[in-house]
Amino acid sequence: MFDGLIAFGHSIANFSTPEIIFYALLSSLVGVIMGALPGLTATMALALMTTLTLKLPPNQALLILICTYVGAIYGGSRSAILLNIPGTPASAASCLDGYALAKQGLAGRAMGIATTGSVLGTLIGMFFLAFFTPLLGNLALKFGAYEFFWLALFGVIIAGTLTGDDPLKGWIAGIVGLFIAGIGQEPQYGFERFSYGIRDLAGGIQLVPALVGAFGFAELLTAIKERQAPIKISAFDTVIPKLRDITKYWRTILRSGLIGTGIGIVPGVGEDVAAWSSYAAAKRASSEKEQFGKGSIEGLMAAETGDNACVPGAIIPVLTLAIPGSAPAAVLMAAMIIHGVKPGPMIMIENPQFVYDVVAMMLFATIGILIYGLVLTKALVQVLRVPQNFLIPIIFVLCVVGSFAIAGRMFDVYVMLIFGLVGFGLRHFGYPMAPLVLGIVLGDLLEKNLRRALILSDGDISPFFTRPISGVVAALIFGTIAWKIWDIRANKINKGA
Amino acid sequence: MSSSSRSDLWGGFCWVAVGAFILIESLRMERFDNMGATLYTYPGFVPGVISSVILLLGLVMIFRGLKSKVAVDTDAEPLVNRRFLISFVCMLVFSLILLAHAHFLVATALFVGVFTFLFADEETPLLKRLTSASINGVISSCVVFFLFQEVFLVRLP
Repeated sequence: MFDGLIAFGHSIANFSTPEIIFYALLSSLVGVIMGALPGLTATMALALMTTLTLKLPPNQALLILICTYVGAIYGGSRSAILLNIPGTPASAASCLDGYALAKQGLAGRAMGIATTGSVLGTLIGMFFLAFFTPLLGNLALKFGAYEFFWLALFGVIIAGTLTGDDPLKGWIAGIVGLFIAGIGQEPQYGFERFSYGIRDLAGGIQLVPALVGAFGFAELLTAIKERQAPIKISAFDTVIPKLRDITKYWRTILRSGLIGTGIGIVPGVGEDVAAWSSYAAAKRASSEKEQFGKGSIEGLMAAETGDNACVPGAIIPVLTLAIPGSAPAAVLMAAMIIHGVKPGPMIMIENPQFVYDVVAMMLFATIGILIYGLVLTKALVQVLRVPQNFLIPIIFVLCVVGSFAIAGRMFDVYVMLIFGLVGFGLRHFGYPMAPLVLGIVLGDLLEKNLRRALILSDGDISPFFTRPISGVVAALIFGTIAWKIWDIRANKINKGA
Repeated sequence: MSSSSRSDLWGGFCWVAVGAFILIESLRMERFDNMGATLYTYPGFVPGVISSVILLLGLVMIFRGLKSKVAVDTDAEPLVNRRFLISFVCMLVFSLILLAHAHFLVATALFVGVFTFLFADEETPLLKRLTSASINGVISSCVVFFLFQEVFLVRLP
């Protein structure tokens, strides 16, 4: 306990330089702006910032990415409250009560509540990040090839189940992601798979250009297809939150923080599910249920606390298992690997200080969003007035430059363009992108561990089910699939009736 | 037949084709038996398993499409429209042609300027559209160039 506190103190001391504080504040601002702009998501912001920070030292680059991540998830609430358009999918739940409050002339109070919820949610998640990471790291040391295989599959299946409207399409997207990860030289014999003599493809598909394409370019194409409606921003009162709102709803804050962090830890789920789950739990427990959807302070507080608490939660499995808890966390994990940090069970043995560095980075990000939420709101909402035709070409240039910057080759730009176009088409037909991304990230882990496990057991598949942890994760996967099939059939029967 | 069941049918057929293609390619891969490889270490083993799952899910989708009678959605949005096509062509011209033949600053300024102009609000006077598009093009290309090349030391195309 005290060792952790001392390590955290060291991290804070190391980061307390003017240069790093400047980076933290600037990247939180970039995150808030990108999150606030409808159509630009946290995943896209992180993918673009990863390419921008390639040449920075690892700690500075990762600080920038974490501040962008926290800022983007928080920033989504601005447009949710003022425009009734969620800036990021994580803020969709905030539209319900945030915009209702804005229509009552209480947009300022709603933004104050969103700031309070986001700050407290991040702090709750941060506590669990510091507390649980060492514990989970120790537990992860007991995991073998069987457990890692199931965990990788679990991430893809859960993301496919929960991030779209149709689990079947989600599962297909995830499995296709696993296939994409296998393109290029395979690990055992160096055999080139599916490269068809294309030299650049022999090294596989780089994760960042694929992500920039699937999240950046595809989102731009989706945004440009629809003509932007004229922006009408509601007038707002003071954004300074009332202490009464915090003391009155402390149970909701704590519950939502716990739910958000818990959902973050589950591989592949993400902030939007955290926000909706926190909102639903708050509604069930509330004595003012009838206010939900009509401008409930409690509802808005729950959604904002839940989605921001999910951010540190999603980083816990990244650090301990090398399995991301959400799509933006998948990009963050890729950035860690690019910068030479090896996330996974060995992190608490090889690089324990890094865990506390991440907690300190979260704290800087929290301070950033608190400052912007309380002081710069009026200036920041002006960004929402910037017309789409000014922003889209600039973001596309960043997508191109960012993809090129990874390895200095045009091939990655082509990868970005192809993934963008395919991602756009898949989105149009209702295929979610998060499972695809998780599939690409987890494909290597899944393949290596499946092969290793089968070699160890000489082809016997029983250890996949008889080892305790492995059996539990397998049961969760099959249970999830069975539950979804039952759910779909039940809905069909109800609709038929 | 509703559009959702039609889309399930077409989607299902596509995934079955993709799965079958990957499966055939996986089976055709080198097996390295002479180096002591077993089934689990064949390069095509994991892609083969994955392709089987894609194939199976594709069949489930076809089955669902055949059974489905719900969700009549005849006003389904088209995949592409004029705005999409114009922007996509601009983006391709920038990334595949302009960047290869012009300096980054010029290519970017031209692309951003033209794009901003083409998608500007039609009610804005022509001169104002032209001026604002040119300013956006020049400023953004200079800022991106300076930021990547000078501050973050990243190579540009």
